[in-house]
Amino acid sequence: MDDFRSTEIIFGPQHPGIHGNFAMRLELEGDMVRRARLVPGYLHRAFEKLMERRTWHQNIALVPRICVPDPDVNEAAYSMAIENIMGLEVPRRGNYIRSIVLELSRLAAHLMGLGGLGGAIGLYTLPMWTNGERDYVLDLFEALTGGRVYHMYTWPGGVRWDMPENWPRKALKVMDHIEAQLPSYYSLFFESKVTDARLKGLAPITTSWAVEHGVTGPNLRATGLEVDLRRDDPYAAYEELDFDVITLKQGDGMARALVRWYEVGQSIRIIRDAIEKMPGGPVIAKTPPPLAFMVPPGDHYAHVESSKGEYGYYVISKGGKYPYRVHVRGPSFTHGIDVLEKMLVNQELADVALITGGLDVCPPDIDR
Amino acid sequence: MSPGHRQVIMMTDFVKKTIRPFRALRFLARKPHTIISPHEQHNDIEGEPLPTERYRGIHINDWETCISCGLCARICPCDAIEMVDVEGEQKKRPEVSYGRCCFCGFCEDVCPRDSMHLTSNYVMIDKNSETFTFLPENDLKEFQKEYIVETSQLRYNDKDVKKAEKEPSAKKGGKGKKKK
Repeated sequence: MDDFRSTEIIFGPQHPGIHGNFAMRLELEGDMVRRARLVPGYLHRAFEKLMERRTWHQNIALVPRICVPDPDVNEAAYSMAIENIMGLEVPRRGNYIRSIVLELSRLAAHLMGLGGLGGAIGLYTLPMWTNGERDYVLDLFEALTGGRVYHMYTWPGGVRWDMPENWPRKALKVMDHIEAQLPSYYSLFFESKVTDARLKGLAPITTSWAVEHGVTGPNLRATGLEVDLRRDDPYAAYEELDFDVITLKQGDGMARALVRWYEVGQSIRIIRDAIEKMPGGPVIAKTPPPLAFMVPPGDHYAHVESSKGEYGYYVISKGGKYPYRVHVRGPSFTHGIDVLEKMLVNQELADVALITGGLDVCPPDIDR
Repeated sequence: MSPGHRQVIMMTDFVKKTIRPFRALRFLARKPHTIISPHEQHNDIEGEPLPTERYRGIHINDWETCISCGLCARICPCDAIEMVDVEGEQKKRPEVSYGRCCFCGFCEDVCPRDSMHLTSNYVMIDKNSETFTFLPENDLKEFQKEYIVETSQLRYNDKDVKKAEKEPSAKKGGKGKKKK
């Protein structure tokens, strides 16, 4: 009889509850997950190997594809690693614009993540709203960088172009608009009885467990640890900008969602502050033209705080036109494989999509 | 806190959490974010038309200033640009394959004579797949202009078109009656 007690089901990649192109094999006893195994590999495109065959600048067109909802962290971390090896100093204005772009990217990613969480609960109003507001952010990206999803805007030495004249005004207007919408998201999602029932006490983790398993970013801050690379190891212009590090103590699904909701507000605050303090001057340091761009031998690990967690690029140069080796440290790799496999144990099947969405896992980053 | 008081708080909390989501109903009166393309113009938050000038779409290349250096083909991360011989021209010209192009705009950045540009036009519809490998010239290609759909060709949400559709059907009905 024991043989028939458990069922194995394959959850994804063609499943409305899965967050992208990866699958899980779940061993169920009744409705409870007893063992979960992740099946990644559907999006493996060998980015790290591809980068070895392309010039330093050609890689800028490649790296944003590693994380689709939050692409700018890739460009920024990669560029920062190169700048550090070369000893380039980014002009102040370039750093401020970088910060704005990174925060806009975080804003868009959080809005999309919150929407996905609403979808996992069955509250389809929230994704409609958040994706509607996200579209205004994409419009801003389009006016600033020329691309809606993949911007290819951050460049070793600064950013590619200066802001258009009317862009700060538009950005402030979009920020006002999104800020005005935030209370209605709160009352729709967080004050709903359904959200209470589904998210409160869902897969709680403690700080020590989270640190042990390499959890970073909003998921770690939801357990009460005050960690934020923007404050602890400032890059771009974050040292001069005002913002709070959001922490919550509970460490459950509700806390993870709430941290994201609060961080949208903080991103708006940072963007406003950066536009206000925006210095003049050039946006890009003097660098050799892209085809004659050489990086001296050396290596550096540059990391940034993305909407999912710590995002890092370890770049090794042996001199010349091409990188010798680039390694990407993506937060979704730890969140999506090790942490998720352990968190899903003894949870109900109906909560699987919710836990995955709550961790904000980004499958292209798992496979790379 | 007395048990009765606690019950009252729980009840108000319950009523709040049940009723509040219905506030979303006021959004029914708002206009949707989605637009009917290509009928309606996509605007940004200030009502200015999109895409903006910076948008990276189909290439144009000024053949008078182009010196055929081939830097655009060398920088292209996708190998989408190839320098090809053209009849009646002494110089080679860049040919773009849009099956590969990722619209990064590096060719525009690297161009020493500023002849290569990415326009904000992104409409590319054609039945023949070979059309999408072409030599960018001073102006957009004919097939791009040809397939910009006119408003009257699409039927939804256009009152005039709906009227126009109703009229011929009424005529047909009239003919049917006569036959009977």
